[in-house]
Amino acid sequence: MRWVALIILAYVLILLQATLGDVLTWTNSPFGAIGPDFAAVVAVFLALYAPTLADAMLAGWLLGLAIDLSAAGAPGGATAVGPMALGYAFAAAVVFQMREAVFRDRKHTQMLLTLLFCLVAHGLWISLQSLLNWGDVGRSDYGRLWLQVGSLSGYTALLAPIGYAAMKRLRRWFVPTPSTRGPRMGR
Amino acid sequence: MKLSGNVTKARVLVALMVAAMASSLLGRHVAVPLRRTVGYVLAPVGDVGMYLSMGLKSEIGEIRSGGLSAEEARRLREEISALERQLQAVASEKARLRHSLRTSADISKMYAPTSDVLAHRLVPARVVLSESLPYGRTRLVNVGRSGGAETGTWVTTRLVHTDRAKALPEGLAAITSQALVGKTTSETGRFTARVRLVTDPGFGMPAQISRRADGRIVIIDREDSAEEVRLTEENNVRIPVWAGGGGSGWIVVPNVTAYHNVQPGDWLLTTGDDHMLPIQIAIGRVEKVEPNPDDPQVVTLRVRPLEDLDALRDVYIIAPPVRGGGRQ
Repeated sequence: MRWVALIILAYVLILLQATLGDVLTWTNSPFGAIGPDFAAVVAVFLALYAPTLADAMLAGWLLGLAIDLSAAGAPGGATAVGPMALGYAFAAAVVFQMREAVFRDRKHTQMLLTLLFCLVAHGLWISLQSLLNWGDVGRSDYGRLWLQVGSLSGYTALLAPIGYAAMKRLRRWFVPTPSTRGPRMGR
Repeated sequence: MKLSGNVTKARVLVALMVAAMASSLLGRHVAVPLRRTVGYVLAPVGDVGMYLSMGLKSEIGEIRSGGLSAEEARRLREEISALERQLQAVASEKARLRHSLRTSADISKMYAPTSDVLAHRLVPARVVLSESLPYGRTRLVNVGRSGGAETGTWVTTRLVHTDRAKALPEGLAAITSQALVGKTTSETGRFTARVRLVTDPGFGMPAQISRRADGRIVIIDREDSAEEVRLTEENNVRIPVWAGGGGSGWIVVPNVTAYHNVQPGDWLLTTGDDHMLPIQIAIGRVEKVEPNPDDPQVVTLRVRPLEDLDALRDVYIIAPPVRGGGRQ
């Protein structure tokens, strides 16, 4: 993995998500605002193409940390830094383990994996944040947050094929392509 | 070589996971300084993104809203003429109050002891970054402690009412009202401050409901009984409430006694008791009154903020009082 390029990508993604992502956010839903998670789409892509499990989890950890550092509001007030890094790393591991069983270039696969990734990462995040702020977060709040997570995951999954197509064009900047040795076919 | 690389990465991963767990447990002790530092890195570039975002939002809003229907135009005309009548009444009341203010100022100048002047400053700031996740409703502004913002200072907007068909003259045309939008959090750094919006789930403040004296029937508590009366200017007292963010586009006011008969269109105001915000300003208008299924004696109010918080760009931080100085 090209880590310097990935750090720059994380910076750009967070800027996009915290500025233009607001345009795509729907605030009038009955269970809270619903917006896309661009970083999750990129994390799924990297988990599908990372050379090793450790690479996939490290990339997930990096993107999750970037989210943690730019999301200050959560159940119970101020959020801790770290839960999303853990959630993304864990979700990236899940996607990495599943990738041999799926056709990654199919749009349905990309959408399903992104849905799963968001449910795992965001589910873990709201659970950890609620546990850390237990007392300020009631059971009804926790239930409503799960509805919000479900909607956010579905919304992000719908946008996943667009992000996947964009990332595929930029793939060599972030994931080294395996070198081909020996005589090429057709020569 | 490959194996040793993998082992190193695995160790790094384990170390980072442990660090993330430790940071999670330490909570805001680690989160606040880290986010404050990251704010400095993101804020300069974020301003460009927010500029684009606001531009796109206003374009989308224009497309969605379309033109006014004949019915909407008629309703607006009626509202304008009603407002004009109210404005005349307010103007005469203002003249009366100004006269009494002048009189009392003259008296205090003659007899009151010299004291420090407590003056709040309105510090203009600009929203440069939103949140990367939709669970919270906070904004990063480009003014920090060096500009006068402190943790817990209030943030407002000023609404400029003008005819959209006319271009705004140089400077501000007419500042007619002010709306509370949030409060700065502990993530206030030297050059940036994080503002928790009034709709954030973590936001809460004492407030009051101002009902319109439109002759509705309410119950007023007497010393030993309760009486059903029509609401007029004379018996219209403000209702103290607790207002909190609803997490989406609403402010939620729970446990309001049902016999106060709060109705859509009533105002949610600040109390004016806070030394950091010693004036009563509008927060929003009641849009829904929902009965409480567990207790029919109380209702929950859903209040729409006066300001469009999704399109928030220019705000004013009410900087803490300056002791020993004049109004700046």
